[in-house]
Parts: sequence; C-alpha cells; structure tokens
Amino acid sequence: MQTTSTTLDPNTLAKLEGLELRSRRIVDGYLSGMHRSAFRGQSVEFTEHREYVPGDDLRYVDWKVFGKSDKVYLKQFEAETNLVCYLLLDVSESMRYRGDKSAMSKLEYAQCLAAALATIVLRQRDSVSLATGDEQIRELIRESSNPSHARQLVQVMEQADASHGSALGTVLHELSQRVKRRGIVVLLSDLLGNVDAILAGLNHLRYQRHEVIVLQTMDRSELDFPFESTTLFQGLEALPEVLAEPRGVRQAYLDELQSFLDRIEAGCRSLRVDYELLATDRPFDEALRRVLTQRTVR
Amino acid sequence: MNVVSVLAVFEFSSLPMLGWLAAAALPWLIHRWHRRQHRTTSWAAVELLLSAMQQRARRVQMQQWLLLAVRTGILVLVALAVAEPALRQWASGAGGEASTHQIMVLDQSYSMGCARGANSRWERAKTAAQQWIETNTGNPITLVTWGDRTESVLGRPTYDNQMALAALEELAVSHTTVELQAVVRSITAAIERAEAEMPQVGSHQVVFCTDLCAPTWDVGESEQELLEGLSKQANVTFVNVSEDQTGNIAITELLVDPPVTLRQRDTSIVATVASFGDPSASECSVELQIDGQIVDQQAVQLARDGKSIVRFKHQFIDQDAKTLKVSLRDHEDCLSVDDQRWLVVDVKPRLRVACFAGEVGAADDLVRALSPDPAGTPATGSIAPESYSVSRLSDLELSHYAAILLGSVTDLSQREVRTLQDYLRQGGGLAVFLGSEMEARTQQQLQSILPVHLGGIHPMGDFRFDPREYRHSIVAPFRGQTQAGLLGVAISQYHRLALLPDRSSAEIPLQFDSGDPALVVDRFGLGRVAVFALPGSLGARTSSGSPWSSFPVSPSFLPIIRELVAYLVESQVQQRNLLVGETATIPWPDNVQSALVTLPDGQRHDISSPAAEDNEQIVFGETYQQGIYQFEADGQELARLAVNLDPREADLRPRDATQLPSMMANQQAPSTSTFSPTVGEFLFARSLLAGALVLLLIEIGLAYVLGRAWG
Repeated sequence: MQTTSTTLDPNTLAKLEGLELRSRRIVDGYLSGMHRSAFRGQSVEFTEHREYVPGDDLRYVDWKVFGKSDKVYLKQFEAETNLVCYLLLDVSESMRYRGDKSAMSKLEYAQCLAAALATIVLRQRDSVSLATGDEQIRELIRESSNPSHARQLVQVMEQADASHGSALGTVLHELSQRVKRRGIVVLLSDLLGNVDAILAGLNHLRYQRHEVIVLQTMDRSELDFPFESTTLFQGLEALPEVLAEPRGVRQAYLDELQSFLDRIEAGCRSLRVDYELLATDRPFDEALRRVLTQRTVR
Repeated sequence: MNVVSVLAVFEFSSLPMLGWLAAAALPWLIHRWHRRQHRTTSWAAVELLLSAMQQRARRVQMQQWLLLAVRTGILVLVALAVAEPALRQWASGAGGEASTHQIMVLDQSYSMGCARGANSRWERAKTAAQQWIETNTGNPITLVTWGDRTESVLGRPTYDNQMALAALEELAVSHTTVELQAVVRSITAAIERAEAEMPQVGSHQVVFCTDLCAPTWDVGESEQELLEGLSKQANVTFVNVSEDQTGNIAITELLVDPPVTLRQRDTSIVATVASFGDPSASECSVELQIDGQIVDQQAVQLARDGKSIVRFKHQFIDQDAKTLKVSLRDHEDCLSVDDQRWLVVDVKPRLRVACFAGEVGAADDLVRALSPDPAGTPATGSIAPESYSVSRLSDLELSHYAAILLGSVTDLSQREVRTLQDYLRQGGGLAVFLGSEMEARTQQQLQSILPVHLGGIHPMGDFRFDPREYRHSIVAPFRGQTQAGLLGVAISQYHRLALLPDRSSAEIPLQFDSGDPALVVDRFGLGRVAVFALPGSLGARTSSGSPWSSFPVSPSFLPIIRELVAYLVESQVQQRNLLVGETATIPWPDNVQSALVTLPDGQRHDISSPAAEDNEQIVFGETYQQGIYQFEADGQELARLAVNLDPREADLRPRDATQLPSMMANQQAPSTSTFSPTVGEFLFARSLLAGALVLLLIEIGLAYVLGRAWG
C-alpha cells in the first residue's frame, strides 16, 4: 500500500495527465490525513442556525441544539461566504525551468499547488480568485465559491504559455489596485527578479489589508547547483548565456542564492507575510501541510 | 629574451626529444576542448549565476591558469630533461643564437699509454672525446692532436660529428713528449680560422684531454701568459684522465764510457733505471742486447723515487756501427714503452786525428799531447794523431779523421777553407790554435767557420786562465784539482776573441782572467768547431822572444787537448742518438740520388736527393717512434740512428690540478665507459627532472585544494 507522501510525490503526479486530475489527487490525498481545515473558522463569526439540508457538511451540525430540539441545525457563520482567496500564479518564463532530475517545472508544481489550494478553499465554500501574471497580470478570474469554479481556474492555469519576462513587483501593485475585497493572497512564484520591487508589491497588498502567503517554488537544481562539467547556461527571460565551470562557481552561487533567499525571507517577515520555500521535488502534502499548518498556528 | 634565445644558450644531446615540448600544449588544448565540450542547459537564476561569476570568475580563471601552468611546466621540464641539455656557454652566459666552437685537444704523449686496469689513459681520453662529440649538436668541432704533430686533424672546424669521430678513431698515442706552447699556437690558429670562416661562431671552448704529466704541465711564466691569453679567447677546461696509482719504472739513460767507442777496448755501457713513485717491484733484471743478441743481464734494486745505475762491461771486437738495446726484464708496470732504450755506437779501431801545422813544429806539442808514443812509432793509445803541413789540407780525405787540429795557421786558400767547411758540415770536429801571425785574408775566410771575431793580439801582460767554475765538459775534470796546473799557466799575450752575435750557440769553456775568451766552441753543420786564443806549441814567440804562454808545457795541456778532442767527436756519437721528435741529419753521400729509411716499425720511406747544391745532408724529421732508424742507399747502409723517449715523461704522476692556472676549469675523468664529459649535462637533466617532480607534487596539492574549493 502506498503511503500518502508517495502518492503525492511530484514524480508520481507528473504521470497523471491534466492539472485538474492532479489537484484532485493532491487534495484527496492531503485531506485523507487531515482532521480539520486550516481555513475553517478564521476571521468569521457565528450568526444564526439554519436547518440541515442533505449535502451539508456534518462537521457544522450544532449537536447541542440537536440534543435540545431533536432537530438538525447547522451553525451559520457570518463570514462563511466572505473569505476570498486570491491565487496569484507567476507565469513568467523563468517558471518554465525544470531541472534534469525534476519531474515538474516550477510552473507545473505551482499550478498543482494552486489548483489544490483552490479545491480546498472551494470545498470550504469559500471564494477563490486566480490571477496569472509575468510582466503584468495576464488573467484575473473573479472570486467565486461555486465548486465548478475550480475547473475554470484549472483551464486558465493550463493555458499559461510562460513566455514572457518577469516584473512581479508591477504585477503585485496591479493586483492590489484591482482587487477591492480583503482576502488572502497566495503568491506562487520563484521570485526571481527585483527583490525590492517584489517586497514593495507585497507591502502594497499588506497595505490593502490582505493577508499574504508567499510560496516560493524553486527547482532542486537551483537550490543545489549540482552541475559538474562545463555548462552553457542559457538564460530564460532574455537573459544572456553564461559559460561556466560549475565547480569553480558553485560555492559563490550558493552564497548568492542564500543571500537572495535571506533577503526575501527577511522582507516577508518584516511585512508579516507568511513565507515558504518549496522545492519542486518535495511531495505536495508536505508543501500543503507546511502552508496550512502555518496558517493554523496564526 | 625570448624562448628561442634562451634555448640557444643550451645544446641538446637528443634534439629530436625536444619534440616532446609540443606536449606542453596538451593541458591547454584539453582545457579548451573541455570548454568546447560543454553541456547546455536553460537556466532561470542567471542573475544569481552572473553575480557569482563576477565574484569568482577571475579568481577561478587565475586558479585554472595556475594549474594549467604547473601542468605545462611539468611537461616542459620532462621534455627538456629527456633532450639532455647542456650549457652552450658557461662563462659568458647567453650568447644569442651563436654556436660555440668546440676545440678538443688530445694529449698523445707517451705517458697517455699508461694502462692500469682495463683502460689506458689514452682510451679514457678517446672515450671522453668521443662522447663529447656525440653529444655535440650544432657546434663546429676542431680536433687538435697534441703529439707527433700538433695540428688540427681536419684542417678546419667541422659540423660533421661523424667526420670528427672517424678522425678521432684513427688517432693513437705517440712516443713523443708535448709542449704547451706548440698546442696553444695551434689552438689560437684554429680559433682565428673559425672566426674568419664561420661568422656564426659566438664563442670557443677548449677542452684538454690530458693526464697532466710533466713536462707538459710544468707551467712557467711563459706558459701562464699563453694560457691567460687563450682564456681571453675561449673557455678553457681539461679532463684529467690520470689515475691515482701512478708508480712507474723506466730506463731513462743509456750511454757508453768513454763516449768514443774503440775496438778491443773495455767499454762501459751504462744504463740508468729510474723509479717514479712506488715501484711495482723492489728488484728487476736489466738485459743488454747488442745487434739483437743478448750479451748480459743484471739484477737491479729499485727504490721509491730513486735511480739505479747498471754498468755492463763489454769489449767490441769488430769495427762497425753497433746497436745496443737495454731493456727491463721480469717486471711489469703500467707503462711498458719506457722499459727499453737504444744506443748506436760507431766502433773504431782508433780515433784518427789530423794535426796540421802552419809553421814548422806548430803541431808537435798537440801530437804529443794526443799520443805519448815517440815520433815515428805506431800509436798504441786510443787516439792516433797524424801530423801534416797545412799544405796537405786539400790532399787528404778529411772524412777519415775524427778531428782536425790546426796549429798556428798563417795562410789558408779559399779552397782549403771550403774543404774545412765541408768537413764540418759532415760532422767533423775542428780546433784552431791561433798563432802569432795570420794573413788578413785568412782571418776573414776563417771567420766564416769560427764563432768569433779576431780582434788582434792583446798587449803583453801577465794573465791566467779562468775556468769559469768548470761548467763546461772540457774543463770539468779540473774541478777540485787546483794543483793540476790549469790555474798556474802563465800567459803573456793572446788573441782577442769577440763572440759573433749570430752564433748564439757558442760557448766559452775557458777564459783569461782579463775576461777575454781563451777557448770558444760552437756547432757548425753536423760538426763542432773550437778556437783557442793561444798557439798550440811553444814555437810562437812574443816580441820579447818569450813564448806566448807556458800552456804547451803545462801539466794541464794534455788533458785539455784530449778533452777538447773528445768534445769535438762527441757530436758524431750524438748524431747517432736522438730523442723522439728530434731531427736526424746525416751526410748525403756523393753520387747517390735516392736513399731509403727503414723505421722501427718496419715501414720504409724513400728520400730523394736534395735539390740545392750546397745542401749535402739528409734531414729527416719524422722520428716519431722510438727504436732504430736505418738509412740505406744502393744497398749500403749510410747510417743507423737510435731514437729514444724523452725520459721526463716517464714520471706519470699528474701535476696538482689546483696549481694550474685558475682559468682552467677541472672536470673529472671518466671512470666508466658511460662517462659523459658534457659540462653539467647530467646535472641539468637531473635538475630538470627534480623540478618536474616538485611541480608534480605542487600540482597534486593544488588540484586537491582547488578541487575542494570548487566543490
């Protein structure tokens, strides 16, 4: 019998066709080990009871009322339908990178994760919105809590061609201006670009009173730089080619990378932005657990 | 200075091996090929990579270049080492691309034949020269022989090593001694020729392959100056091929006593056996052969650095030229060529001496001094004097006489003077006793023979003889014999004699206490001539009527006249006995057009009649072998010569190399056949290999450190 982690491993999921199928597998696999949702009850307040109708989640049955009146009532929360989750997916060309030993590109990994999050949110009957962007926002799907909304989101994500450069700071500013309703913004990106601009964009979102979660997706090759022989690195996003002796520059690269990550993490911490670095070779349940656990703690 | 000019400072034994230098490019080619063989990948974090590259690329590149340089250095050093480099110029430093004229000088003196062990000194010298030539690349070579002939073997410098090797192969050790001055002249000529004909020659290097034996390397002031002059033109070095143990025994002298050998008279044959250093034995036998027959043998004791005299008594029966050979027996040492010695003696029944009188009775005292027998009776002594009037001078066959004495000659015709000249040229001995009167014409003609100018008669006085410390052989018997009468001779007047400046070989055995010469002797042709400033008899009178001197009646008169005659005929013995390399001169017989000489090794050479009418001598200079030389014409023996080694060379001990002129660099002798004399060659190769090893260790450490630094 396969373990959950094995079934949610990117190598395994990559064999599945279609983002929708992958996201469903991820969510099913993840929720099979969960006891409660991390999103449930957050920033909502109890308002009234309503009578149970078939299909309602039994977790919200008010057993005390049931004991007193023998009628099944569900707890009605004021913000139950007010939670909006904005998924911002970076579809710049750099997200297309996939290392030799990776099963998925950063974009594919982020797509799966975004789809899974969308599914989870929708299953909680909250609203999900999706934005894709590179140098600007390419697609912005309005929030909806309709379960069928997930399919639309998947379609949009699958259509992303990831062929442009990156100006994530600009995209964040644009998103801040275009979404008026306060919610949770989940940014899925490798964050390769102008760090100061990105942090400024995040700051803009925070200023709009959004809660922000940054999920930085990086390929294992980008994190470990495992190259041995002389390699011609062809830059994505119109960056120049670099011929390098990897063994000679590995340590310097890793130092640069760590500095880059440290700046991102420190910036997020100062903005009270949740930050997670996700390697694309890690199982999705681990990634979701890290994201959602962090949310629960808060 | 570029790489080519640096390499030009060296010469390489194995030039093709330098091709391996191309391998030095291998690390760079591999590096470039490795960079061309890169993999290609797309990359997102280019800015991070670029930033890392900016920090590390220059450092990494420097490290790579350092590693490549070390690897290249290893290959270069190994390639140079296997090419066996040697410094082309080791005093003047780098000389551009000019070549170095290599001058090999091979000592062929007979001491080089010393063989202790497997190889002789000569073989070691040839091996050294051969290996030197074989390792020579691109330099002209001059091979100078230093023996029979001191000359450049090939005539001019050659770039053809094979030609030089072939010429070297034909060389052999000689029987000669060698002189430093001669070889320096030959070397200087070779240098001048190379500079005139080969403008590409930038420097010269002279290598003496020698055993450093005397008399060659007894460097005096003149030799020092020569070597210093040579060192200004060339780098001078030597290869000492002598060995540590250099004891030797040799026969260094052979003579007969008396020097004129007479038939049926006791003659002592005296051989000197000398030991140099520690002799190999304390005793050995000396054997005497006469005309090939062993006639006697004696044992002789040997001592370190000592001389032993062996005296054989013999009486010759026949009158003829006899060949005497003395050799060592029951003895072995490292040099056998000096274990024998030859002597040719002309055995005569008596010594015929013709005494010519210019005045009546002018030769009587001379005849009596030579033979005490009463007048008119046959001579019984060793000397048979014959008294004649000077008018008979042209009638007699003078060649039958060992010596001629002229007493108080007043007048001589031109023909008579010419007869005397011919007689002297053929090896005769002439003594002239000046009388009271002499025609001016005769004086003038005699001065063509005599080594003195006749300055007239000295005013009367009271004079005595001064024997000049008895240095000359004629007066030497009087040394320590103050009562023998020589110093008591009373002299009233004498002829003033002044030495002619062009007769530098003239000697004054006896002089007057006034300082004027009393007796002057000199060589003339093959013979010897003497002139006495006094008459040979009491017949000559002064103006006061007294004899010129009491000399004819002095007890010293007889020994002086006899010693004078012995001196005059001694040259005839010496003409028959030469040292190697000396020129033999023998009379050329009348009516003979060609002659034949048989050398000691049996080779025969024709000798043509001299073209010049006045040249009536056979002059034979090629006495390069020790032994007997026989001259023949029309089946008749003309003369027989004995040629012997110069005994000075028998001392095989080398001179102290540290006492040689400082400009001469020493180089150790080859102890094995693998000796290579090229200066510092192996040192260079070894150093290069050591350098390569060091670089290899550096490369290993560097690769480890950089490997870790690069992850």
